Amino acid sequence: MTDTAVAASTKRITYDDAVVRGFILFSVVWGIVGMLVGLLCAFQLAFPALNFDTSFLTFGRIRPLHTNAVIFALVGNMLFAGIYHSSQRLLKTRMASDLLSRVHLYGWQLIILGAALTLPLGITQSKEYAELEWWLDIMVALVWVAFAINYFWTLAVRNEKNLYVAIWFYIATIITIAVLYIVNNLAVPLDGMKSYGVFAGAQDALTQWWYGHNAVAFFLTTPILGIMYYYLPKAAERPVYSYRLSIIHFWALIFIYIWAGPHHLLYTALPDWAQSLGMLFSLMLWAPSWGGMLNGLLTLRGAWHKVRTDPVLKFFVAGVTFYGMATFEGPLLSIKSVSALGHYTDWIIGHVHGGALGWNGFMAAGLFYWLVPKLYGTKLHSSKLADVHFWLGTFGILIYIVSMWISGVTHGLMWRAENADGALEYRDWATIIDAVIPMYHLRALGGALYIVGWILMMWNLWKTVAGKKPVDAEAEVTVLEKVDAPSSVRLIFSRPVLLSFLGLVATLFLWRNNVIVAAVALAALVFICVLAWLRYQSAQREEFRWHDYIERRPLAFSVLVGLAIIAGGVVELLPGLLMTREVPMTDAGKVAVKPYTPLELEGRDVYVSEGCYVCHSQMIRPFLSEKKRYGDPSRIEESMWDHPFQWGSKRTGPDLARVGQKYGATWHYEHMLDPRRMSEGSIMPKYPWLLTDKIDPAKTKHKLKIMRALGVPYEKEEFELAEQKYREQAGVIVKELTDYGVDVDEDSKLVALIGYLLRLGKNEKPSTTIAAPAATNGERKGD
Amino acid sequence: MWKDLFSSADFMSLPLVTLFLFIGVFVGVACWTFSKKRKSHYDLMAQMPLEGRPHDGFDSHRDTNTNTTKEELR
Ligand code: HEC
Repeated sequence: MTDTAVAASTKRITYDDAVVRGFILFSVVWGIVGMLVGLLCAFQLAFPALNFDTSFLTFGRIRPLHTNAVIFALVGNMLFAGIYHSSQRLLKTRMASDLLSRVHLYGWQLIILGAALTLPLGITQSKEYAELEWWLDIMVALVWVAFAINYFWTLAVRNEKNLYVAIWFYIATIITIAVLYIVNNLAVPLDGMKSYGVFAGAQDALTQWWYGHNAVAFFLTTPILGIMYYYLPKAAERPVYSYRLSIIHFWALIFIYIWAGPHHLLYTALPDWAQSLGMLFSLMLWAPSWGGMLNGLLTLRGAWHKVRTDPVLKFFVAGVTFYGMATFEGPLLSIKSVSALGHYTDWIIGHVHGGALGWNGFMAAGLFYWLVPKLYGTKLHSSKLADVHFWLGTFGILIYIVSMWISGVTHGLMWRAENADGALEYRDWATIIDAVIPMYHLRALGGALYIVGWILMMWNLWKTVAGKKPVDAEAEVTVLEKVDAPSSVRLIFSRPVLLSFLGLVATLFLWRNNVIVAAVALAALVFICVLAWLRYQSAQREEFRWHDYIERRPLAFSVLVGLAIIAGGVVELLPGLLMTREVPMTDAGKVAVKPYTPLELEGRDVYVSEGCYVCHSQMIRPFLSEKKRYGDPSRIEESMWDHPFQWGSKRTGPDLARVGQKYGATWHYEHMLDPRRMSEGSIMPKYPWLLTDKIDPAKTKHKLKIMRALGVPYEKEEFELAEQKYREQAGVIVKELTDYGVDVDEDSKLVALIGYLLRLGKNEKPSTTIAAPAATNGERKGD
Repeated sequence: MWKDLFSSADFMSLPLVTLFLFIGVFVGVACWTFSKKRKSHYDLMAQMPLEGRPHDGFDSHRDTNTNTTKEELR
């Protein structure tokens, strides 16, 4: 062995457990707030009056608040608590910097506060789980950097040579989330409250769901798996069933999960190859996810009797089981034919809640019941109460999931049902809503039960710690001195890595059109493979084992994980990003997809700000039934100027991609002010404030300028004419409404929004479809 | 050079190549993980969360970890 550790001395250390207590407190408190907002959302869908006709309580604005709060506040704080607690023990050292730990703890809460204030005000980027505006994004990035520095610093000063697999999962989380978050939030600020993302249309969609999917993977899954691999063995008092499996589980997530994003975009205008790839990788995820679940459950071999009495184990076992359920359902839903039925419906809502309430929420509860008593040197106040929590939670989740299954499948079937003449059976959306309202009541009941359970936990934990002094654990550790270990740099440039890189380059050249180049590349590839094999053989005999070292060199490990993630991401995103944005022309030589007029652009921003996308898609899939209901399937170039895209992911209301062909200004006027006036039984909220809230058309030119800078073909001359054009177009709408007998201000948000809605789906068909690089194999069925 | 590469490549191929590469690397890692030689190492690693267990009970707040270097046990 070249790496010999010499026990130099022992040292007594105190762990920083205060930061752990802080994260737990915030997780529990924000958690209840976030879930109560979710409950309000659930009730609003059953009783639209609960929007209270108030802007900051309306569904489109508070649903993002709910998702952000439970993801980043409840689960975020919980996973930080787990990471800080378990890492210190696994690395046998206190966190390197108390200051950075505090910056992380309080900085994170500040961001959440920022989210809680801005989202209800309609300040949003409208990309799901990335809604926060640019300055909050910068704060997230800064706090994350503080976290990362602290973590890698701690790794550097650790007193344990080997890195337990949980640490790998944590490292992957830190690196991947940084990459995902920054790329997906690249934007140009307009002012303090608004920015435009640099990507548009299909590119934006691809980037967003690459982020969205991997946020689930690397924020809601990997760190929690790390927590599972540490705390489940601890609670069960036996080692993990198979350490090998846990390694496979890890690499599978790194190499496979990162690719599955496009399954969120099946049957959209996204090129076919990207969709198929997303589906393929999603299916491949089945195996490692279930391997991971079984690994967790089998850890309890011989200890099942404890599950009956120990609430911690109960929550862990159920949590891991829900992980298995969710990771079974996910790949299932990414099969194209299943997606055709389930996408845009409540089935997806049920699916994510299986993961969120079952996996994340139960793992959080298990962790808190285990950890909090220890952090105060005491016992849990009441195991009975924790049991009650468990059963309330379990029934709550089951009621939630089952009601959403029924509602989702019902919707999916009703949307496509045809009568004997081949016409749509349920053309009227109100009938479709009506069919599932009882399920919406049930869902609210399920959620409420779960919340009651959570409140019991709060009470229980409160009684546990009340009057107790917090204790910070101490440990006697051996300080390690490292002698003669290969550096991280040497490891990254070591032969296995270099050979893999050369292999990749050679493979790329295989695809050149030139036969000779391809032949040489093939020969090179064979040569590299032989070299790698020989190298592997000799490594078996030598002392220097590459992966053993990588396992112990967090920096090298991190760089390699980062490279894998980035390589996967680049390859997935690159073709989309290289799509040309040439202005599409019609056969008659006219511009087919014109950029939005100043009024439409402002109206679009109202649409974004109100969060209409949480209930409405703008993406007609290439199915006959959708064509009958909404019109021609959406084409990729139709959203090419859309910063950000508004394809949506849920159809609580109908698709709006071509709604401009359907109604006039007066219909929209009536409908926006009271949807039930035009559509009896509608559950869409009223938007009375749009009548009084104003837009300043003098400022629209700044928006045009940014759009132009981002590549939208506005002419410079249009900037100064923007206000005039705005007023002209608004005037036409106002006139129509005046004739109808209502008085509306030209500058009101409502007029702009109507301008935008009237425009939707009025593009002309270009003579050639957009130059998506894969357009040749991307011919879509329905066109 | 890169532009050249992309213009001549069919865009289906780049993701496909990388796909196979990723699967290849993954299978490689999997095989390596299951190679017999590493069993003792894994058994040691699996014990890591359990160190100091006797002091971890509900009635104690002391985490007295001692870490005799694993290398010696190997
Ligand atoms: C709570 C979910 C929800 C939200 C949020 C929502 N809608 Fe709706 N919307 C519906 C439902 C349900 C319908 C179908 C019943 C109806 O026509 O009112 C609908 C219908 C519509 C229609 C008529 C579509 C058609 O084809 O008949 C338009 C236009 C519309 N909504 C626009 C908007 C706009 C603009 C916003 C944002 C300011 C918005 N909606 C927000 C649920 C919602």
